[in-house]
Amino acid sequence: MFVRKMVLVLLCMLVLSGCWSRRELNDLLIVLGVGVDWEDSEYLVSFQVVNPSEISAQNKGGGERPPGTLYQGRGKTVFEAARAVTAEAPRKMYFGHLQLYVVSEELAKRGLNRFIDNVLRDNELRLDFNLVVARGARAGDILNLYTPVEKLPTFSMLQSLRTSEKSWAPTVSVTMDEALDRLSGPGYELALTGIQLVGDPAIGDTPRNVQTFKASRRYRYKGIALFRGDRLAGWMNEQESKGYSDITDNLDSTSIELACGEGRYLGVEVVSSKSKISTELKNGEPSAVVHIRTEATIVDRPCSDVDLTDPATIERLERESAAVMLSNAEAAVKKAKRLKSDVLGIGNQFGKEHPAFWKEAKDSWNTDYFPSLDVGFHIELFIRKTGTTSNSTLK
Amino acid sequence: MNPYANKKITVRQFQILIILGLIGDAILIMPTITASSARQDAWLSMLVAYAVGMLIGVFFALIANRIRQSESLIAASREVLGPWGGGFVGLLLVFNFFMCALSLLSEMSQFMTTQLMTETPVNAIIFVFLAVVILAFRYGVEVFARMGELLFPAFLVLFAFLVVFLLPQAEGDRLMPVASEGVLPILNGSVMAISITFMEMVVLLALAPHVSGSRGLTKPILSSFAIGGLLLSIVVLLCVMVLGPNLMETKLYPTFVLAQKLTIGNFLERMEAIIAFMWIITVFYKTLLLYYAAVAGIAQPLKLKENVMLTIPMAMIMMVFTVTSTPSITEYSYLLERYYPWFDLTFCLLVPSLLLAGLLVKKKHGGNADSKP
Repeated sequence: MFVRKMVLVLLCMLVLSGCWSRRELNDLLIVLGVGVDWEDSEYLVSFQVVNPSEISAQNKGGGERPPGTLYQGRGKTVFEAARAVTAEAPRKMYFGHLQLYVVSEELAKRGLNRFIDNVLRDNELRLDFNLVVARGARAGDILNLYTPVEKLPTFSMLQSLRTSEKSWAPTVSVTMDEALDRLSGPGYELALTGIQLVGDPAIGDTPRNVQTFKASRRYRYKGIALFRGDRLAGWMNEQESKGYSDITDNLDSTSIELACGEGRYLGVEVVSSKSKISTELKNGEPSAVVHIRTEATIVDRPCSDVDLTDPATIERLERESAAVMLSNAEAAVKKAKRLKSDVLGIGNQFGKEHPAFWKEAKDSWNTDYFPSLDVGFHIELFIRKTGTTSNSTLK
Repeated sequence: MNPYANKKITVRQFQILIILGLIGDAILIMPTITASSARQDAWLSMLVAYAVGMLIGVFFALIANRIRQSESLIAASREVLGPWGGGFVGLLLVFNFFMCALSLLSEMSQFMTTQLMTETPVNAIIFVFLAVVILAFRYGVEVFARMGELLFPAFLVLFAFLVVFLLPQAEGDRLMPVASEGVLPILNGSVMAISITFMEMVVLLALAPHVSGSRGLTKPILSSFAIGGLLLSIVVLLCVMVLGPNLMETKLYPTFVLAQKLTIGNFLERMEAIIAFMWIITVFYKTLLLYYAAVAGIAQPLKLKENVMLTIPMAMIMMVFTVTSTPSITEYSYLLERYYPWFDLTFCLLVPSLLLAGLLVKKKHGGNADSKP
C-alpha cells in the first residue's frame, strides 16, 4: 500500500512540476513598440524592446547602454518578420506589453487591413495599445530615438500622446479595439495621429541626443490622418485637428487665442468640453447638428483695454471664443467632406437614430451623402473664471 | 449493494449544480453566438432565450418531480417505458450526455490552447481535466455536490468583481439602435442560446433522483434557471456595452477580452487569468455532470455492481473522440452552428418528452397498478 502511494506521488511530480510552456521573465524580450514599414515589397518590421537592466531601479549609474534595443526583421507577413528577428535576438519576443504601434505613412496609404489582422488574432497581444502614423519618416526611425526625461521612447511617446490629447487637442489616442470598430464598417472612419521627427537626424539614435540640454532630435505629434476605409486619405492641419477632437468629444482642454490689439492675443483656456452629434431626417434629407458645450477660463490678458470686471466683456469674449471654436469645427468638417471620409461618426449616429435610413445609405454614405451633408453647429461657451486676478495692474 | 441508492444531495446543492451547469461553457461562447446574428441586440437575444429557457425549466421540472422516487433516470425510464423501450430511451439520453461532454471538452481545451497556454498540446489539457473529473466521480455525487457548494461563492465573488469593475467602462450608447434589423436576427441569435444553455440542462434529470426530501422540485429548478439565466444575461449585456458588437463578433472568446479590459485605478490590471478561473469552475461542473450522467447511465442497464471500472475507459474514449471529432476550431464552430441546435432539440426535448408522455400515461393507469404493491 505504502509503495503504491509513493509511486503515485512520484508520478504526480511528472505532471505537476511546472507549466508546460512556461517562459520566465529572463527568457522574454518585452516589446513596447512596433513599427511597420513597406520596403522592397516586403514588410520591414521594427521592434523596440526593453533593456531590463538599463531601466531597473538598482542601476543608478547606467547610461552605457541604451534603455531599449531595436530589432528589425523582414517578411512577407508581419509574423514572418517577427520570427525572422530571432536570428539576431537572444530571446523570443513577447508582445503582451505592447504600447505603441507605428504605421508608416506609405503603408497606411496602401491599407491597414492587409497586415492588421495579425495583431487581432495573436493571443499575446492585448488590444489596448495605441496606433499612430509615422509622418514623413520611417516607422522604424521613430522607434530609434533617445528621448529625454522618460528613458523608454515608446513610453514617452505614449504619455505625450495621452497628455496632449487631454490638454492640447490636435491629437487623438486611438487604441486597437477602437480602430477595429472604425475599420469594421462605414459610418465612422478611422483617424490616427501623425508622429514626425524634427531636428538633427544624425544623432537621434546616439546617447548624445539626451546629453545636451535641448535634445537635438525629437518626436512631435503633428496632424490627424484621415482614413477612408482602411486607407489613409489625407491629413488635417492643426486647426482642423482641434475641431475634429472637439466634435468627437475627445477634447478636454485646449487653448484659444483671441486677437485684442496690435499683435496681442488674449488667452482662453478651455477647461471642459462636451459634444454630441444629433441627426435629423427631413423628407428623406439627412442633416446633422453638432452640439458643443464648453467651459473656459481667461488665462492671459495682455491688453489693458479689455475690462474683465465688466460682464459685457465676458459675454463678448464668450462669443469670440465660440466663433474660434466654430471655425475650427467647420474647417474639420470641410476637410472630412472633401476627403469623403466621415471621421466624425455622423453616419454612425444616423445608424443609431435612423436605422432604416442608414440601412439604405450606408454603402454610399461616404461618396453620396456625407460630402453634401448639411452640418450645423450649436456651440455654447461659458467663461466662468478669470484666473486669480480680475484686471491686473499691469499697464 | 446498489451504488446509486442512498446517494442524497440537498435541494440547495442540487440548485447550485444546476446554476453552475447552466452557466457552463455558455459564459465563454454566448456573447459571440448571440452577437454574430443579433449584433448590438445580443442582449435581447439572450433575454428571449431566457424566457424560453424558463419554459424549458418547467418542462424539466415536470419530469423531475415524477422520477424522484426512482433509483435513477435510466431506471425511471425503464419502469415507465418497459425494459426495452425504456432502455432505448435511456441509451439515447446517455448518447446525448456523451456528445455534450465531448463538445464541452472540445470547447474548454480550445479555449485553453488559444488564450492561455498556446503551446500545450490539447491532449495534455484534456487528460488533466478528465483526471479531475474521474476523481470527482469516484468520490461520488454527494462529495462533488458539496464541493460545488464551496466553489459557488468563489464563482460569485469573481463574477461580482468582473461586473463591478467593468461598469465604469460600460456605455449605454453601444446598445443603440435597438432591434433595427427586425426581430428575425434576434430570434436567430437566441436559438443557439436556448439550446446550449437551457436545453442541455436535461442532465439535471439524472440528478433529480438523488435529491433528498419530498418537496416538489419545480420551484428549485425554476429559481436556479432564473439565477443562471440572469448571470448569463448580465455577461452578454456587459459585453455589448463594454466591447461593442464588432469586437464581440470578431473575437472567439469575448468574455476573456472583457476580463482583459478590467482595470482598477490603472495599477491593478491583467487579471484575466484569475477571472478565467471563474469559467473553469463552471465548465468543470457541467462536464462533470454530463460525465456522471453518462457513466451512471451505462452502468445501470448493464446491472453493474459498481461503476468505477467504467470511469477510466469512458474518459479514454472521450479524449480520443474529442480530438478526432473536432480536429480544428473551424470544424467545431461549424458543427456547433449548423447541427447543434437540432441535435439538442431532438435529444434534450424530444427524447425527454417521450419519457414525460410515458409518465403521464402511467399516472392515469397508475391508480390500478399502485393498488397492488
